[in-house]
Parts: sequence; C-alpha cells; structure tokens
Amino acid sequence: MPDPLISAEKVVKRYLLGEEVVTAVDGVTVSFAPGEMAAIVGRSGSGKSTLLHLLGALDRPTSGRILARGRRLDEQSDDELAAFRRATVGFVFQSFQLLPGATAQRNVELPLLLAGLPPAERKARADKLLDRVGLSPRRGHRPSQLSGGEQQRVAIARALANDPPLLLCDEPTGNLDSRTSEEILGLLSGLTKDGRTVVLVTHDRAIAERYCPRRIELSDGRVVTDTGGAP
Amino acid sequence: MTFADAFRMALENLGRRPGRTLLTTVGVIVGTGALVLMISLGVGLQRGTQALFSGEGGLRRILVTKPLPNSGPKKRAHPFGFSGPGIPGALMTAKDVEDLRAIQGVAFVVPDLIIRSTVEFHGLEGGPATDVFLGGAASEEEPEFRAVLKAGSLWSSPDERSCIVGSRFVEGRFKDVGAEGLIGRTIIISHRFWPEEEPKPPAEEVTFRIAGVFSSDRMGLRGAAIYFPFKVGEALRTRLKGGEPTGVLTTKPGTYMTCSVSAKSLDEVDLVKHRLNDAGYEGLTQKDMLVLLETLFLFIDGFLACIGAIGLIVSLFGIANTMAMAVLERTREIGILKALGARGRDVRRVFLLESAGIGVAGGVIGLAAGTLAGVALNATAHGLFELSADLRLFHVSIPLALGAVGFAVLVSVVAGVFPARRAARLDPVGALRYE
Repeated sequence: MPDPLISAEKVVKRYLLGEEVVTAVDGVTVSFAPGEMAAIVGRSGSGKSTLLHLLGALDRPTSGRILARGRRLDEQSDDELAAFRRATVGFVFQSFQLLPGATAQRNVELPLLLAGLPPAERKARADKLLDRVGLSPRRGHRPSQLSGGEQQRVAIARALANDPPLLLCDEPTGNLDSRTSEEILGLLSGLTKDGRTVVLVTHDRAIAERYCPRRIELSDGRVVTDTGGAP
Repeated sequence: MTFADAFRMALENLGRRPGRTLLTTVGVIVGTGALVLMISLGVGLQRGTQALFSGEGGLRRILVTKPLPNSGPKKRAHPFGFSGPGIPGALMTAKDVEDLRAIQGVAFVVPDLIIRSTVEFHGLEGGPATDVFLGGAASEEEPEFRAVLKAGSLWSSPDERSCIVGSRFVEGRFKDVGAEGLIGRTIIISHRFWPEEEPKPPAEEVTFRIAGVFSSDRMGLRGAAIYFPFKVGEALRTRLKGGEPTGVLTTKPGTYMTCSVSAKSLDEVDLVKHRLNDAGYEGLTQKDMLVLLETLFLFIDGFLACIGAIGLIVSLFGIANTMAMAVLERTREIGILKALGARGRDVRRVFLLESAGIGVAGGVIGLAAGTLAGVALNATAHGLFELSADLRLFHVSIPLALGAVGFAVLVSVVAGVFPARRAARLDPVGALRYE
C-alpha cells in the first residue's frame, strides 16, 4: 500500500451533550491512500460524519492522532489547520453549504479568495471548474435559482478550486433524486483518476458498493468492517 | 484573504441588509453631528473670545484695580490659580492715577469710565439700545484706536462732541447702513433711569456725532461699545451720575473702578505688573486673561465634547446589536468560510471592517450634517443678535473634523470587537449545523 495521504490512529472523539458525555468516535484507526475512493457507511449516529470532520481538520480528536502525509494535525494551531483545509481538503456537504447571496461563480471563487489569489486568476479558474461540472451557462445564478443537482455540482467545483488532494463528501446525494445522485457520484468517482482521494460518507450501502471499491463500516463509533481496500 | 477582498466582502455584507445598515448608520450620523456641533460651538466661542485679545496694543495693556483695605492680593481666592484683580475693589481716584503714572515702565494710564446707558441712533430705524457701555479714550491711546478703525476717523480735538462706535455693536444692528453709512450721524444718550427730580439735560449735552467705527474684535480688555474723547466722556459720566445703576459701578465723579495701564513695551508688561502689585494695586494682563480663558475653555470644550460624545456612545450599542445579529444570522456562512480554510482572523477582519464601514459612513455624513447645522445656526444667530460679522459661533476646524470622524470609526470598531471575536471563535462544525 502506498504511503497514506491521511490517517487516523486510535482516534476518540467525545462530546458533552448537556451533562452526558457522548462518544461519537471510539478508537478508530484508518488510513486512505492517494487516488483511493472509499465510503464510510453506517447508520445514523454511528460517528461517520464526525470521523469525516476529524479527517478534514474541522474538528480535533479527544485522543489519538490524525496524520496528513505523516504530519500530526491534532497538534497544530487553528491557523495551521485552516491552512491545511485550504490547501489539502475539499468538502462537499449534503446541504451543499453554498453562500446564498453569492452567484455560482463567486461561490467557486471563495476558496481561491481565501487563498489570496488575484481576481483575474480566480475568475479564470472558477470558469474552468464550472465548465468541468457542466455549469458554465449558470455561473451568474444564485443557489436559490439552481436545482439541487446543480447546487451540488457548484459545491464540487468549489471543493476542487484549490486543487486539493483530498475530497471529503458528507452524504453528497442525501438531498438529491436517484438520477441526479448517479450523475454526482459519477462525477466524484471520476475525480480519483488524477490521483485525488475521495472519501464518501453515506448511509446508503448500495451507493457505497456501486461506486466505492473500499467500504468502511462504523457502528457506535467503531470500525466493524473495512473491505475492498488495497492490499 | 487580502485586505481588499475582506473590504469588498464587508461592503457586500452591509449591502445585503440595507435597511438595518441605514438605521445603524443614522445613529452614528446623529452622534457625530451632535459631537461636531457641540465642539464647534466651544471652538467658535473660544476663537471669538481670543480674537479680542490680539494686537500688540492690547497685549501691553494691564487692567488695574485697587484691593479693598485689609484684603491683600494673597488672601483672595482665585479659581484657576492666576493672579489678578478682584471686583469690586476700592475706588480709585486722581491720586491713584498719578501714582500709577509714576511707576517705571508705564507709558500711560487711562481711568476706565465704564458708563452704562441707553443709546438712540438718530434717523435710523430701530429702538434705543439699552445696557450699552460707554468709555473714554485718552489722547495717548489714540494711535491704538486709529489702528483698529474700520471706517471714518477719530475726533480732531479732545473737546469735540463726537464718538467712535464698536463694529460688533453696530454691524448686527445696522447691516443695511454699513460702517461707512454711520459716519456723520448722531447718537443720543437717553438715560432710562433719569431721576425724576432732575431736569433732563439739554439735547446738545447728550448728542454726539459718530466720527468712526472701530473693530471691536481687537479691543481686548477695553470692552466698551462707544468711546468718547476722555474729557467729553468724563463730563458725560458726571452729568449722568455714572450712568444707569448696576450696584457695582461707581457714580461718584472723580472716582474709577479700574484703570488701564499701558506698558512701554511688551517685554515690560510682567515687570510693570509686579511693580504695581508692589505699590498696592492688582493688575490683570491680557496674557493672564488668555491663560484664564484657555483653562476655562478647556473645561467648556471638555463638557461640550462629553455631551456630544454621549450620542456616539449610545450608537455604539446600536452597532454592537447589529453586528451581534449579523453574527447570529451568518453563523452558517462563517462555518462555510472556515471549512473552506478561512482563519479566525479573516472572519474577524470582515466583521470589524463592516462595523468600521458603518463608522466611516456615519462619521463623514454626521460631520457634514453637523457642519451644515453649524452654518445654519451661525446665520440664525447673526440674524437674531448683534454679532460681529467675523464672529462664527460654530467653527469646524480640520482637527475637529478629522477627530470627529476618527472617533466615530473608533467607537464603531470598538462596538464590533466582541461580535467579531465571537464570529472568529465559532466552532466550524457547530456553525455548519446552525439553523
């Protein structure tokens, strides 16, 4: 197996819910290689989204280590984690998470703006990405003027803006009909061809089996099966 | 994120809620306008008052009083710690005038007549002017008066029944006639409190020709509205028994409340003041007055600034509320920005720029509003009262303008600090889930 792009070692994440301590992720050890397409499956509340947030440095583990190309993320400052997300991770969410007041173009430009790219370069790259997801004619539309599938394609274009090696998708088809879901999943699986790692969180086993060679099943925050991965 | 991008994002965010942004900005406009108006009033009054004490002739002048027996100068209470005469003091006589003249460094001494009376302008519209202070000008100080003449001339002999009138007194009253138009006209002293048992003086004794108009703004401690040749003025005071009663002014012929002493040079003013203190008198120089005025206006300006600042400080809460609402409304957007790699400081900067933007817009518009209100109030005051044409009650200086806008921005940024910090510290996962 090639060196992992991102890995979790004995990662535990506990939340305080009122006065109760909830263990969302409980000693998970998992790693993802470059170019891999993997699904994290499990029932609602199994800890799959939390694990995805930990892998994407949106959250910090209570214990254990998160390593990105061998570098520990759990020891880094908030600013360093922000820089890591900006350069290394692209997020795709179930509810798209687009800025409602901004056009498709502006939404795609946002990670480039945060990276400090000049406006002309931002525009050129956003144009290219919108073209890649087939939304060039809709670049001037706001999210409310786009269908669910179109919004998710804008979100994918945005996730690819800084050309990150890791794409983390949290139920990317959860709000879409089956036909649009297939389009989106086809788009995502195509992204691994250029060496990008795509990790997909889904509760739909059929989707996972059809599109993801590797499937990791979580239950009560623990890995119960990890099948189909590279030997 | 570059500063330009953060700035553009802040402007876009403000534009998304135009009504709320406008209402919050109005608070800053009102606050800044009130601040500008209040401080400009203080500055205007200070400038107007300080203008009185300009000119070398005035600066050589010392206003002298004689302390009451058994109340030496050191026993007097002086509110601002400056040394000067107290009024009422003992009456001064011709002997005192001679003693003062004998002091080394004194150029001349003029007893202050200080006659208070009612004056009519013959052949001009408008009723008599009441509570007008009349004075006498000695021949030694004629060059000083000549230097401040705006129209006409001085009298040609010390016995001439003519007078010069102050610009501040006549400019407001006879705008249409103008200073030149007053020359050659006559004034009539019409005593309001003429004793019933005494016959009124014949017209020729109380009628004087206007020979000239002097600039009131440069007279300093010599503050009468109309001056006569000293001898003529003194005779008038005797005839009027001192003028209309005030309870303070002397009515006794040959006695004076104060004298004006002029030092031979500016360098000798303090020395002469010390010498006349040693001789048992008290002196107040224009420099003393300026120091006193500066101290006094420090308090007045500070007080007015505090009143004006209240409005801006109240608007601080409006901005803080608006920004706190914005953080709540945009919690999810903050989560998105953070997921995409925004640092806490990027988020904080956008929110601080939004509150600063409200401050800049409100400050600049408030400055313009305050300045315009000052201009309107200046015009109204000149219409209602007899003010010198040069006097501006409300004066907006460049430091005031910059300071007011700067303060508005500062207040706005301070108001935005806590909401911006809260936004910057939001947990991205929690923010993304916020509904």
